[in-house]
Amino acid sequence: MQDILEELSKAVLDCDLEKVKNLTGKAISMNIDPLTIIEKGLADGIKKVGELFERGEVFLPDLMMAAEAMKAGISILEPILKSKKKHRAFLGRVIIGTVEGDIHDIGKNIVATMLEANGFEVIDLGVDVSTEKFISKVKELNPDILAMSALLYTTVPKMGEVIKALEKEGLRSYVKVMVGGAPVTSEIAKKMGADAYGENATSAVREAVRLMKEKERY
Amino acid sequence: MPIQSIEGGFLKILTKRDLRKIHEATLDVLENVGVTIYEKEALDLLRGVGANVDNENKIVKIPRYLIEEAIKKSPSSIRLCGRNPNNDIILEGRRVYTAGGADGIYVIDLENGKLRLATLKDLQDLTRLQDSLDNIHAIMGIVNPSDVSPIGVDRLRCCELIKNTEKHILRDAQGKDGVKDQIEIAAVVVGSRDELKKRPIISFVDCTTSPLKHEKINTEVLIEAAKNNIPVVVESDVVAGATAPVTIAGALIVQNAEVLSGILIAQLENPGTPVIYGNMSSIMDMRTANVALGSPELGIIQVITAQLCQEFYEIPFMGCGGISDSKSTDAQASLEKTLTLAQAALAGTNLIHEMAGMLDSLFTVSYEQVVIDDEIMGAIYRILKGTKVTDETLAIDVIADVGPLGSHFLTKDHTRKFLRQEQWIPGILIREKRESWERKGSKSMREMAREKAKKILKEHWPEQLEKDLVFRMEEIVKKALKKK
Repeated sequence: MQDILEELSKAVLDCDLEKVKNLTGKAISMNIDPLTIIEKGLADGIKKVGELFERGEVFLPDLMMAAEAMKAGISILEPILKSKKKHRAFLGRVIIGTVEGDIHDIGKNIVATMLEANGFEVIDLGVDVSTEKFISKVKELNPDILAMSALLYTTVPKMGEVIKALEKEGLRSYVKVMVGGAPVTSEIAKKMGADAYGENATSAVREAVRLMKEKERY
Repeated sequence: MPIQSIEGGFLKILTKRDLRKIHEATLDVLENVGVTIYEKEALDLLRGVGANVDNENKIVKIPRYLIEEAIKKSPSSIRLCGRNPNNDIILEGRRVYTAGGADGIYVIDLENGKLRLATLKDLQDLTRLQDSLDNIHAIMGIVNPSDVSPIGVDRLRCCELIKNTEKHILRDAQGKDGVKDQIEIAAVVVGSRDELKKRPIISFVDCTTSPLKHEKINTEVLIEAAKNNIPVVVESDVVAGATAPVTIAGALIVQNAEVLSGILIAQLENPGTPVIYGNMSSIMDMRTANVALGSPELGIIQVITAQLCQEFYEIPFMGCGGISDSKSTDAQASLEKTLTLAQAALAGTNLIHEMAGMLDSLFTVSYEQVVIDDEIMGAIYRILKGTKVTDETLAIDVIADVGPLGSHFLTKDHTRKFLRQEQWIPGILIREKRESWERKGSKSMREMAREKAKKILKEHWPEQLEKDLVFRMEEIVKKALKKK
């Protein structure tokens, strides 16, 4: 059992999507617990890629591709988890989107992928997301974190608008707000009343983990 | 004194055959893959001339002849005017001009050297500083002031720029109304809207979104500028590896498809619109996921795009150069700025924008860096000028006159006559011997630049506009802010 999980971890590290799918299938047929397959195989691979990335030995496309490979494995495991009434233990639930008037999504997509790869449940609302939609989704899905992105200087204030709307709706204390995007800085984030600022994908993950710890304290 | 016309265009990377391949591949992409356009008027225009419009996804597939026609309709020479006619520049052929920095968020304070958010006063001062420097020919909104609301700030910036410079101004705009209001503001200065068409003291910039998208607000800017026959730049900023293929050839195709389809929209709206091919395409740094705007790859893309515009399209080209990813005025900044500016200039980029003051991948502006960048550009212009070989410059008579027994050429008329033509006189470079340099306080180039910036800000004032004109301009700004 150890062998196949190690192989699976390596397949993620190698960004080999097909191999990940095959090995996940094989692991299932060997009756290995799906949660173990994720934890000891897929997630282990991602952790290793993350470490190599931090050391500058692999690059962003490797990281993103590895995350895609991991997702491919998980999508095979999900129906089995469901049938066994087992749940993945997510670190937290994140709603993410690019604010209204802005259709730039590359940074948001990188962050979403990295959050997923690091154990968050991510619901991506896409681009040009109106304040109303953010609010209704927060009401509907009760996320731990609302993450917003903007690339245009002119759309940055929209994030503050959403935060104000959360306050008005009495939702603010239930959800942590994280913001990011090229023109955003920690200073601007603080000014608009966000709880965290993700400077890049790795710091976004770090901040999301910190926010979850903060939440647990209450 | 009018601005000198200096030409580049001797640095080339691709053969004509390779350029043709890129052009043909671009037309293939436009015809078979298409671009997304999130603006109704543009979609209607394209549908009207027989482009294949997918109404649901807003994807437009464009037959190649439409693009070829639009290129032909685009003028190959565009005059950008200053409110002082001495500052007019003509973008065409291999001429090289520059436009200053744009859209910084932070500034490095001139007094204490600390980083802080940019203010309206920074916008005014940095504009005035750039106005005084000879190697900066056009002005952009160098910072986004943090002390005013971003909504409607395009009108405010327009007004402040016109007040603080006599040079041509390139403007961003918040959609159709942003263009209309700024045209009105500029018309106040030149006398009328008709006069503005003849002497455009402002032009507009439309930025595409990569890959292959024309977003609504920017497309409105393009169409409204075209309607009014005001010069407009269609600028693509692909990030190779992220928003375009990692290969430079592939990235160029995405850039080219975005710009050419934008040019088509302008020419459909108003045939003959003075449209400028723009770019700030670069690569993503794959260790940090940041755009590397000081990269040598950016320079390569500059050179090839300049080649495409000169040799193929005969459309003026606004490229970029002189942006650094470094956080401060340091060795990295000098390396990145000099390399990218030299590449753009040697290639014959008609307007090199973001040329002054920009650090930190465009997030931070430094006053002293503005002065240093002017100096770098001065040196590069000297290189572009090259030298002439004539009977007089060969100087055989003078050589014979001094001869093998003579001592020096310093007192020859010939030396005085040709000195200013042959030599570039630096402003702040240090060429002294060590001891006299030490005696004067051992100042670095950076300190020299800081002092020069302070001196300019104390002494240089562009010609003031009449009070009545300023009042009318500001009324337009106020009205626009109220609307929001």
